[in-house]
Amino acid sequence: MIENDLIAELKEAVIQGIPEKAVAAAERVVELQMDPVEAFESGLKPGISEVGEGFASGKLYLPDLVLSAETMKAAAKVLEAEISRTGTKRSEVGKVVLGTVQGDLHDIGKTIVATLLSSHGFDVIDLGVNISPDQYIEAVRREKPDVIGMSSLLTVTAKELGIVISKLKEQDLREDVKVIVGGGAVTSSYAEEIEADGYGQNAELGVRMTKFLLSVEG
Amino acid sequence: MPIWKSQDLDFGVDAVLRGQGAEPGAIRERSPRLVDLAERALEEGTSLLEPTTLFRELDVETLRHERLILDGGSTLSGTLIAEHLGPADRVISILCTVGDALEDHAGEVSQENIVYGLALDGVGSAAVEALANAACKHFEDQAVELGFQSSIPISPGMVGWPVEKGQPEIFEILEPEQVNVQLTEYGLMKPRKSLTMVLGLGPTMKTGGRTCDFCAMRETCRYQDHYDPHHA
Repeated sequence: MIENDLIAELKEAVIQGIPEKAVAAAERVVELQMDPVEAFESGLKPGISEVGEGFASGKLYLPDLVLSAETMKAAAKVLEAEISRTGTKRSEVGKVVLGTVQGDLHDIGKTIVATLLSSHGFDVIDLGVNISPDQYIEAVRREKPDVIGMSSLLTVTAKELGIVISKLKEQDLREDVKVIVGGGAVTSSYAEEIEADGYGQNAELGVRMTKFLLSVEG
Repeated sequence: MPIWKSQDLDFGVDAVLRGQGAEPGAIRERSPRLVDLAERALEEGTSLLEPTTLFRELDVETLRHERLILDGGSTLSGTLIAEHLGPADRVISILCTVGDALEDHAGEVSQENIVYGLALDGVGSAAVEALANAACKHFEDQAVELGFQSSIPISPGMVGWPVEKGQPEIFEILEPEQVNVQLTEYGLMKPRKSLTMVLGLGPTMKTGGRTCDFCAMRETCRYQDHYDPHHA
């Protein structure tokens, strides 16, 4: 009974965006020697999924989403320490390299995507802003990610997305990695035109697309 | 080049929430924490604002093939310019910026606390919007005193005036280096919380219209109702 209550509390804390409440519930999970993976999968994940749904449908806004993601990260830190201590395993969901394309200095949207992906359990390498095609290629070789996510807020820099994809092809790396594009200047038809694997109109839809392409459930 | 020093910027916590892409009423109802953060960001961020408006008013010499030729030879060109500024006798080119101190601070804060970083960024967005609104009102009021009407403000990036064409044209007219605003080769302004626009003044201007209708992001932007309360 207590276990179910704590899992419900974790979920509710994420939905409401109250980090202290989420951390307290996670600490109680550890104290009671409950399964931390179960708490993560049945408490935190459904919580962030519900918030994501709300954002995608327009009922919730960006600050709601970011606050919930940060709440989840705070509680996840406690649970992950326990997972690592007890040697239990969480399923690995994938590695994502992220960056804003060359010429574009907008950081916050991409950082929010990074935060959300981390909260969903992805290993995220954030390259930063103004990332040249060669920097993406180098990161793909070095990090061997499952996905690269590229963002362009400016219409004038959107062409850089296609340039990176062309470079991946030239370097015989295109088949090794899925490419997702997004940002204010990008449309689904443009993503199709440059032969990206996926398009995320906003941070939440970008995360969903990443999960879809990697066949990650939940 | 003249600099218009505006009075205190008129915006509050609701504008900061809107600057983060949120609807203030809904946030107030369900998340006092986000309202508190916006209040804190407004208090801290206001001290980092450096609002400056640079402007230049030039007579129109002629309109030729969608190119508006201004006194001294500068040009503004494109379908949107021809449509809205074609009937103008004068054009005011305007650059508003709130400087880089706030955005630098927001960037640093975001590394550790993205929620608060987003709130500080919202202060910057709200501030530059308030500055641009104040500048528009100032110049529109002046126009009325002279018996002129004014066009809607036209900014690079609107449909019919691409950023890569419009920004260099305005920068050539204003030379904004004097207020430490630079244009990158991709047409991005640094500091990013800066905004450029042109206003046409004349006896019979095309007035009214919704700025969002001419925005290049109108297909994907979910925040249009924040800029136009009548938008469904």
